[in-house]
Amino acid sequence: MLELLNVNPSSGEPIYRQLHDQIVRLIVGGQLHPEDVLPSVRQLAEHLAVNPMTVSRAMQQLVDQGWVERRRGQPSRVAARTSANSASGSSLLAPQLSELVEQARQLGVDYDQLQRLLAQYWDKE
Amino acid sequence: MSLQQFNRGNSLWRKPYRGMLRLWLYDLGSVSFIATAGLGLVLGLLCFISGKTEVVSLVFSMATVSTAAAIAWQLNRLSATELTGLIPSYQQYVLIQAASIAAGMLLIQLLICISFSAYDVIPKLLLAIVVGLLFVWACLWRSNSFHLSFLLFIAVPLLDRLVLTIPTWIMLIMVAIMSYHVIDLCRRLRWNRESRVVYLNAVQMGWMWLPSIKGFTWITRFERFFHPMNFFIGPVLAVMMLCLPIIALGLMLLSWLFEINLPTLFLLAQFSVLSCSIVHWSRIQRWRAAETLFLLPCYSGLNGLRDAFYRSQYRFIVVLVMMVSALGLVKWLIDPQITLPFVAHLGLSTFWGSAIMLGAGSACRNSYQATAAMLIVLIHSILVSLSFAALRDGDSLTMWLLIDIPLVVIGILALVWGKSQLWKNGISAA
Amino acid sequence: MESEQQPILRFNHVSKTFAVKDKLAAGHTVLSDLSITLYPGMVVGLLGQNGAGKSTLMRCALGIIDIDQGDILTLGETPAALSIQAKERIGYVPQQPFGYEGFTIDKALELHRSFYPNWDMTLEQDWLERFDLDVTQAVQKLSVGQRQSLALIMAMAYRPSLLLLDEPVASLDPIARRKFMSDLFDLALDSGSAVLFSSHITSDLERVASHVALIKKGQLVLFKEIDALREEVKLLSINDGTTLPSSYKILSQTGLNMLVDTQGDSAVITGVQSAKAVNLEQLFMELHR
Repeated sequence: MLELLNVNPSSGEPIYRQLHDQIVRLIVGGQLHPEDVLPSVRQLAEHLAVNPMTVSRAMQQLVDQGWVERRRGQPSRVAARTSANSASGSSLLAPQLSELVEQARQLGVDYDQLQRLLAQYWDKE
Repeated sequence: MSLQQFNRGNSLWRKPYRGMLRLWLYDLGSVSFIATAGLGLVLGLLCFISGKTEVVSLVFSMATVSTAAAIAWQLNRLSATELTGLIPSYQQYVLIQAASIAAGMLLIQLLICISFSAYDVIPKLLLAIVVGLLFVWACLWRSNSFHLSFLLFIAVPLLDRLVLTIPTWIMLIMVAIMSYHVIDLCRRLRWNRESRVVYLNAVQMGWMWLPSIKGFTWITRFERFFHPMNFFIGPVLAVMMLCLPIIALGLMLLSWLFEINLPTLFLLAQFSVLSCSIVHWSRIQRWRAAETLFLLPCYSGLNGLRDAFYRSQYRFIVVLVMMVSALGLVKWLIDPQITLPFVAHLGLSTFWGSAIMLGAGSACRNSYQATAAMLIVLIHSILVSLSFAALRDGDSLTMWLLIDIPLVVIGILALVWGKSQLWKNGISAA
Repeated sequence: MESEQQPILRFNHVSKTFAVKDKLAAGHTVLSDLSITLYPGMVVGLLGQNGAGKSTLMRCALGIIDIDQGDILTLGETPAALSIQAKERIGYVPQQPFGYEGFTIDKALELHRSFYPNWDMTLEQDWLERFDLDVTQAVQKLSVGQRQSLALIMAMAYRPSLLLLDEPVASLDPIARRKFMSDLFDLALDSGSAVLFSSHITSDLERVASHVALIKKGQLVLFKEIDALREEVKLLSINDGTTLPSSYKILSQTGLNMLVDTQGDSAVITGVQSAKAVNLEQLFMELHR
């Protein structure tokens, strides 16, 4: 699972947030299933070569939001899906979508053109 | 000759000497040797004037040997810097400069001797020339030999005795042979990686190569005993403290068995004071390490460090005095010539020699001052050799003991004064 | 949480001027009214140009250099007279380490070890292997990088509470750097140490530091938690005549581009055309325009 995570410390975005977002994506996307064991803070920190406190903070946020469960004496696991922590892929795409729309407007691409482009790219995959 | 021609002719003659001052006097390695040589010349002159002609050959030999070391250093530098082979005539000029300095040194010595009509001193100087040439040749052949430079200075008093046993014509032949070899090697001077290492090591870490000793874990305890004064000189100090008595005992045994008169005690006393000067030489050369020393958790603040340094110096002096006295006593047992008052004198002279050297050394802040402080080694050497001569002649030693006592007081005062001067401008001042 | 603990290192309005030889000329101000406090667990990255005062800062904290104004408390003591107990808990790696010339590495470590209680032999052995140091080598014959690696071992093996590192990883290759960083964290978090380290390599600081202190010409321009820095410091391009809220702290300005510290005020301001987040390298460049 470690190979799936990758942060960019020089992007100007807080590392803990990058890590948090990535793990959420993995969960929503299905690469991480409920009850999957997560690597320890130390392992993550070593793999990513970042301050363990940063990883701690990301983990804490995940726990607070209900994505991850902490059990005493055991490693942290992905929590079962409940209404509280379910986010759909759609909601996660929101930032990219708004940027796409903005760019399209700037470049003068109208809605129909955008739809056609989207279909083109979808079929390519 | 027109003015133009005259000027051109003049400059052609002067051309090899351009930059000579910069090269020889602004380079730490050579200037310290040249300064010592100059010091030797001046002292020789003074000795002649004051009538003490016995020590003149000693002092002049030191001057010669120093000059040889300076020349060897510059030659090493030549082969260490890649550029010198590329700049046209650079090597040639430096060689001319070196030859001029050597010739000038010998000429001055000759003139001084002649002007005082001391013709018997002249042949004694030959041996120093031989040794000097030998050293230069050794350094040209293998750059690491430069590290033996301190042996040169130790050998100087020995030369004095040796020279009486070797006939003049042999020495002249040796001079001729050595000169030939040296000139030959100079002609073939090339860039040499070894020289580069020697040069860099010397420039960065002090021209004395202090060997690293492996093994002997109890040496660490010894080192802690002398800490922090031995921080800059390294493990070699403890090793010296251990090897010296053993070597001295060995030499004494040899001289007793084979009835040859080796000046063991004299050398021992010399070495003790010399080691004190090396302690501060290395402190000055390795001044950058002072910060690391300052941060060690053994003392509080700069005053704490000074205090610890002062007290460790005392421990060192005590060990030196005990060593010299103990060996003196051993010699007293086997050699009827040595008397107890003499052993006492030896112990006292070691005390004041080391104390004054350590005190003055503590006050030194740069290499020029440290070189000047080496004068103390010389004075101690002269006084002790004179007292040995007195012993040989059967003179009373009371005068020497009377001289020792105020010098001991001066030694104690020097140590206290040195403590206040040590790192006066802060720990990071060069 | 921080205020309950005792600060490990505290600079309070510290100023230092180096005198020049000419008595009439003004001295060269190296540090100017600088105040920083370090608590246990903090890894503070010190960022600044050469000559900005980073090394001087550390040496003042250790008592190597005296300060002209203000006061410093290192482990609760004045730097000029650090007690032996305090020194046993301080580790310092200068930019160019010296010391123990004439010794071999094993002898040097043996001597150095004898001064400090709590020496971690496993760490020493581990790191000797990791840095590929031959213990029989003479210290004065080591390369610059090797000398620095030795200095790192000598400063960290006794797990100091205060660790001052002056460009410690400049000579290490990327793999060695990574490993060193993770060991640094172990130290900081397990032992509750505070680390102050200066580095030019902003990418290292981005990973490692919990706080960033930016020094420009001896003055502290910025001292923030690094995540707060990423969230709150922005490069704005504004329209002419826009007034920014007073809660914004303006760090630098070129024309209509401003580098501000929003200090948590996340309201959108009209007149601001764009607000970009900056990484440390961009921050450094903007502040030194």
